[in-house]
Amino acid sequence: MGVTIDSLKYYFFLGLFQKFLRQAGLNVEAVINIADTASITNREVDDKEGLYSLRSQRVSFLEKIIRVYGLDIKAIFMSEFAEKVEYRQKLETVKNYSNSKTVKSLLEKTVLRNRLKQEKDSGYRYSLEEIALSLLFNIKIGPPREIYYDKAALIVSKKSEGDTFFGIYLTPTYPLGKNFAYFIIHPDIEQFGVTPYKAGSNKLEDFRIILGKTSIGKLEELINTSFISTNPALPNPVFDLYVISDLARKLLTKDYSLPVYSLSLLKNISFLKTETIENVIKYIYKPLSEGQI
Amino acid sequence: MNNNPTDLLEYKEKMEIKGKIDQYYKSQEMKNGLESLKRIKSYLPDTYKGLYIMRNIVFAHLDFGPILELAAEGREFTVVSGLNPSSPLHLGHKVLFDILLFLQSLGGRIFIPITNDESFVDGKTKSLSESRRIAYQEIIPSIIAFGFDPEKTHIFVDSDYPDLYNFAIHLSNKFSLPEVTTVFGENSLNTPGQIFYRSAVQMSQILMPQLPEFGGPKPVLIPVGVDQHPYILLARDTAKKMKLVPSSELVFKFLPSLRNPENKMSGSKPETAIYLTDTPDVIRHKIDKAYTGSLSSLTAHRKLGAIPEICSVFSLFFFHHPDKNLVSRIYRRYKSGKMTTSELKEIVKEFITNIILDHQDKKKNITANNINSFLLKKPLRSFLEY
Repeated sequence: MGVTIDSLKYYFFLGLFQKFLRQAGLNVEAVINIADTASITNREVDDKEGLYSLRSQRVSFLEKIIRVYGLDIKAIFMSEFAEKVEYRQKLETVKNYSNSKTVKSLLEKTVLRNRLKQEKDSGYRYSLEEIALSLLFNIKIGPPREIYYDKAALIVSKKSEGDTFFGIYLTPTYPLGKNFAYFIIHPDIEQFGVTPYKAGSNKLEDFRIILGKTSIGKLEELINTSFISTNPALPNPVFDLYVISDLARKLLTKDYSLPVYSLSLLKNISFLKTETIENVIKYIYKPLSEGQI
Repeated sequence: MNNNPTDLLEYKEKMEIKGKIDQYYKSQEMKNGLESLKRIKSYLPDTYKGLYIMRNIVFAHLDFGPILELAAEGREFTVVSGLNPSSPLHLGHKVLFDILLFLQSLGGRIFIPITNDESFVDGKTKSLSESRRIAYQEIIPSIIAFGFDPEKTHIFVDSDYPDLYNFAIHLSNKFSLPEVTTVFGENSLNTPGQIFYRSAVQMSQILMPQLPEFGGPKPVLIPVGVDQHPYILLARDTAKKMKLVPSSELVFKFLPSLRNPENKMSGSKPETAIYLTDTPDVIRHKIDKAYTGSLSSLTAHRKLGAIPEICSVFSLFFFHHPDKNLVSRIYRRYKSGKMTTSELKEIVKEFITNIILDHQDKKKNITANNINSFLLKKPLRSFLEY
């Protein structure tokens, strides 16, 4: 289906954050975990070959991102990581300390309602693997829903006298080209947004930007018909895109300071739309189509 | 200077009334499983809020989202709101019709059943013919005078639209007498007419726009006072049984009685209401006699201020005046004690007299042809075909 522009938010932020910490004197290794096992072991997914092809598509895309934006990050596959002794030991520890009611209720919250039974039947396998993996790192960057994994991980870590770690949550990604009423009738999307790495999440692929697929004309149309509020507490799909393109700008211009945005940006909706369209084209579409800076 | 204990006691009693009114609406929202409009309001562009949502007069809902979705896409949506023609319209009715006009401006097609059968079965009129006369001579011209679009407004007098009763019979096996009794209470189900009207006829009014004759199943919005919420619950259950779309609901607060802010303005109690047929002298007299939010002593009023939220006079202004800045300014001045009750009354008398005279002028010009252009005549046959 393709790679969504919002997945760049994680790559860019991770890359920028690492460079920022390095500038501050910390030796940081940045890793992107590609959760291939979760999809491949999912019984409901029939097209396993398609998944492997998607996996290699994602890797080559990631390599391109790393090259174009000068990122110093590496990708690891969950399937490969799962073979490591260190990880297997951590997973055993997590399993041993995950039987409490609190941990179980947190694990429940990590799962979409329609997947709950499947996850319960598997003994929350995916969640426990996610926690085990998290506990091998000091900082984890993810979407807001992952706060529940991290809370559970912290409980397990404390009980097992392991290291603590920190979670950083990036804002959810919202569909473009939707009016205000869409968010009113979809409180779940309002809370958690769409899944960054799944272009077809909630069947909203036509309302997201797929790199290499979505034309500039369509990009403009999606941005110009998007819901934007001046209220910062509400979903703002265009501002999210603005931030992604700005992270791209910072990386391309080697400005590794952490970004700060003024709320006044939200007040001038027409400016925000125009700036976002221009920046996405200039800092994402063009560099990626040329394959270089 | 210390406050007079009598004044303080009076102030405290008035504040208790305010607390009771606030609590009433909060408890109704919670008890009835209604959803607050707060989240929706945060998303709504100003053009979708209108005066009543902006001022929290419309305060709760069920499934308003699908209606907003249609409106936001520039598509038509359907609204049903009935009226019992036992007395001339009053300012409380005007609140409802202003909400309907606002919904029509967003794309609403409005169905207005005039429930003269209800007036009769409840003993509010002596005969069906009397309630028909009031409907055609008084109520319908008055409704049309608000400015509805005849292309998008369908009025029918129940007794003159007998197909409705066929549909009511068709629906009548979808609920049991105990269910109906639970919803409406035994006290309002004393005769076969009341039982049939409250359950089957009322449900048929609400669900009729989802018949194939009107384009089939669709979201239908019913704006109601909070006391009418149980009817909507029964309609939603019935809709599900018939594979129709459960009704959406917008719930609004009552325009308070002129005499008691805890009660609503009622057409059957003339001293509580200002009718749209009242003369300027009657309006002035009723406002002079109305319950207010200020204290008896002018000195205490100046010192402690008034409580606009329980003031039936201020409510007339708050529920009807379109200028939010003026309403806020008067609210602040009255609340602080800078504006006296007499001053407030003079402002409100002038405003209300003007809107009522304007309405009366418009109503005078409504002809039989105008009325005819609003009447629903479409036969209902889909559920009778074999």
